[in-house]
Amino acid sequence: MLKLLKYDVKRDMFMLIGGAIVLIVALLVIEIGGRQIGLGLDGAAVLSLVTYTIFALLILMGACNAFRLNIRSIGRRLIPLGSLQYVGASLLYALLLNAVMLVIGGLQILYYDANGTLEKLIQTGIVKIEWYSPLPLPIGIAFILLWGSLFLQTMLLLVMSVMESLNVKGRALIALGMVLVLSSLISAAENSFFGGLGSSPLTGFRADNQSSITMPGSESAAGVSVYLFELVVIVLFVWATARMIDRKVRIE
Amino acid sequence: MAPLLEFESVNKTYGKKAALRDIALTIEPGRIVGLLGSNGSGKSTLLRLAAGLNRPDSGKIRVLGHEPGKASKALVSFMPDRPQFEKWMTVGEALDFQRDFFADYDPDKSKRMLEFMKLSRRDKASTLSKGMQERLQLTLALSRRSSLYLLDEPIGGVDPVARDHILDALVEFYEEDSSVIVSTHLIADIERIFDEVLMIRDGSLLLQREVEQLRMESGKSVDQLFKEVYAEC
Amino acid sequence: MTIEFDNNLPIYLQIMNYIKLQIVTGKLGPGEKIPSVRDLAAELKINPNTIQRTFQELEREGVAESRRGLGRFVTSEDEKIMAIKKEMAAELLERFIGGMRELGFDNDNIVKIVAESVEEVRSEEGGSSRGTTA
Repeated sequence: MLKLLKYDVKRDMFMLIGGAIVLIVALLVIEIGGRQIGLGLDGAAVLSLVTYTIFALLILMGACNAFRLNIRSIGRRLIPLGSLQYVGASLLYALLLNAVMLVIGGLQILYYDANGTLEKLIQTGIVKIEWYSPLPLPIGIAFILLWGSLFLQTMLLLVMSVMESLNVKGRALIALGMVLVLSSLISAAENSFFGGLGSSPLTGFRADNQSSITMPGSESAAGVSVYLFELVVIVLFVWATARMIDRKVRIE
Repeated sequence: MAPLLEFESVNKTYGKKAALRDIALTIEPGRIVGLLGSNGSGKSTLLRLAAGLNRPDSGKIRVLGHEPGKASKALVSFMPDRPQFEKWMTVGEALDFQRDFFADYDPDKSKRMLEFMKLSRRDKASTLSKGMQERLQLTLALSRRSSLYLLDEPIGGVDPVARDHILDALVEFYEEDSSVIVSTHLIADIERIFDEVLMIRDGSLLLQREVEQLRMESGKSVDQLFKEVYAEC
Repeated sequence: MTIEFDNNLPIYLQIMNYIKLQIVTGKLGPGEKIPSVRDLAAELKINPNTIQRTFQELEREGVAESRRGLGRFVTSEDEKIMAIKKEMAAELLERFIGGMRELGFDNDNIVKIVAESVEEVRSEEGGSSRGTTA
């Protein structure tokens, strides 16, 4: 699995370094440029958050695309590895990239903390934090973000494996439809089981009105069962994906 | 000991088209086997099933007793009819890939193959000419000490001189206890290295025979027999 | 060594004949070591199994013998080598006579023609050898 990951990283090295540089430049532009044009603290914070979200989506898309290419590549499929390994390598890949981005985000928060911006943001109510868990807040945030992207990615990998098994035109549309159906099913299920306490970062983070970011921590009791439910769904997705790879995915 | 490769009434269809029909065959160790058939006769499908890339619709396949899968892939070295290396790789990286994933990779053999094929580790694989890419493909396949080598049209796209060179490499670098199945439609150039041949047409196996026996009985070359067998129907 | 192989005939027979020719002409002397299967296979670009079969047949006919751990050797019995020579001659003659008959010569004529050509060849050779000694 790690060896597969190594070749993913080697292949995408150029893009990864480029992406990291673009992210850092974008954040600097928001920070420095924002000050010049008199963008308020709230505006800069929201813009930074939007940038991170865009990059998180790019990472997901990149990892999924790499996965799609890998499971149908003849060179990779000749390797004596079980199909779970392809799924695992891809999840690790996205996790690794997200972790790098978290470090960059963490550094920005530390910087905000050091120059007092963070305090101002919280005092003015631009950032609201409701945190009920016994876990330290930074670890909690990192966990929620990584878990959410992992959850979303297992779903996308399943969709990719279905897409690469089909031999019809409009596969991409079918895949898009599947994403919509699956994600509505899951949020419907979570709504009815847990009353809207899903852990997905995309629903967890709320930019209420343009200038306020809420970071809700789940109440621990409901939180654990939500995570258990999502874990079951993740296992199901991964199992189904591995089966698709074994039986249906068309190799070049 | 289980035979190296065994097919038992194997069928495979793609959509509505039958690619293989009721194939039964056995390959013993230490043989060089020619898989002969025109384009689209099912040669590639047969090899891909044996390599574990596709699954048969019905029937059984065994590689040294293993069903196609993780265990069989570790024993089989497959040279596909299209590039198996990735576009970004250099020749060296393509070889390292083999080294990282196959326990039977032999660095010494790979070094000798590189020299023999006049390939340089630093060259970018995707910019090589078609003939050189074929040499690289063969180098990747033969750098392992596998039990079964499956070579899909190894001399398909190269000129006669390169063809001879590739055949020489094949005879020199295959492992004596292992078997090689070579698919081709260019029979005259290559039949001297075969122990036996399989002839396949429209997905059906027409015959599996020792080549020397064929020549002795008919007084004809395999190439000529192949043409006659194909013309009959 | 190179052999132009004829794909219409069993290849092991062609290699057998080739090795016998080498023995008869003295290129492979009595008791001399024969190349290994692997070497000969690489040299002739032939499947090692075919070479193996060739050697087995040569051993069966008593032309070659294998010594444990040392390899294969040409027989050192002169009679055997003579026998190979005669056998090869017999094959040549058979083909020659067959061909002559097809051309319509009868036995007496064949003998006459052979005698004449031998005489012709001998006088030519005699002439040239005399020339070199003088």
